[in-house]
Amino acid sequence: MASAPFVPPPPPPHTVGAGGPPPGPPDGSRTPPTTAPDAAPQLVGGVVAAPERPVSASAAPPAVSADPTAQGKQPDPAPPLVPPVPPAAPPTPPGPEAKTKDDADLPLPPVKLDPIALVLSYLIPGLGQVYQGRVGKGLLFFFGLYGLFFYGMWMGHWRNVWLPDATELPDVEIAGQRLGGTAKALSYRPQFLGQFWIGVAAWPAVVQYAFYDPAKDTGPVFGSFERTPPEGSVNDPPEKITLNKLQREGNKRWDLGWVYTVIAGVLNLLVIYDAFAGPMFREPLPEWKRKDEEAGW
Amino acid sequence: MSPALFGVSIYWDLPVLLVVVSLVYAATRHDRWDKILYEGFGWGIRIAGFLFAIGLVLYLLSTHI
Repeated sequence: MASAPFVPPPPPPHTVGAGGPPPGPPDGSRTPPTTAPDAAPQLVGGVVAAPERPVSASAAPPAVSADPTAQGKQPDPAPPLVPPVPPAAPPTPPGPEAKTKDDADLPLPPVKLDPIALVLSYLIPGLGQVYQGRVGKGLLFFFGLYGLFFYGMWMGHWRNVWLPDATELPDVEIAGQRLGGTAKALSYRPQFLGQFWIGVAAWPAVVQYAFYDPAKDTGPVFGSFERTPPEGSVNDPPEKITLNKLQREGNKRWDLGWVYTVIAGVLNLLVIYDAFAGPMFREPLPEWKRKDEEAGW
Repeated sequence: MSPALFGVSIYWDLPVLLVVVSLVYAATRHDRWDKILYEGFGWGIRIAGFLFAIGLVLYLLSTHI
């Protein structure tokens, strides 16, 4: 059986400890230093000898153990071994959400809180914005929220906004605490917690609650407007509007109506905040731009 | 089409709610009218799509399934 021919082992991936000059030719003359970075490495004792020194910056770095001071030489000023910096990535095009130059460059002044506008927008939706000079938005809030609130009341036959007198009703306990007064009334009609924020349009219900007299059919000043509707009984005349009739004989419009009034009241909370601290996304006003341009910004 | 759809129905009250909620909410986020109308329109489309999807599911459940 013939033996296989000798095949030198493959060179290791790194050249470590290949100090000293590479062996020269048999006649003693030295070969010129390798300048090409892709020069073929020389096999010395089974390891690959490193080239003497790369000339160009793109060549491979010298071996770690090649210490010129150990050979009595001063180190030559070698080119800095800084890895080439890849070219910078091209700038990405601005997306649709990118701000304009004016938006990005102009600093917005701090938010100026306006408690007067807050109170005005609570009283009447949009009044705070009108007070601030934002008349269009104020009118939008006024007609939008009052339209929604009174449209909901109309759907409920004008009998779905009230705060009940709960003195004769069973006690209510929350977390071991027995509720009384207004808290007890609100526990029987929690919708009013949302309706209240529409402002003065819900105040008749507060007046009716404060001056409620079960012996009378109407209250002071506002009559039966936003007064607790009578619960009703089987002996009631057919023309009398009672709570039982509204809930049983309707097509759910009475229920949808109070939902509309609650949504209108809760939306007015956003309007109140807009009057107090401005919109969520602010725009630089023209006078700010002019001041910035005068200041050279 | 069901004749009930054209009768007195609570569904005819929904556009009022949809328009007001969309516009008022958008107006609390912006001061410029173009942005208010743009965002309000977007909210209107989303709310209408959501309501239509819910209505379609309820219709299918009540008639074909």
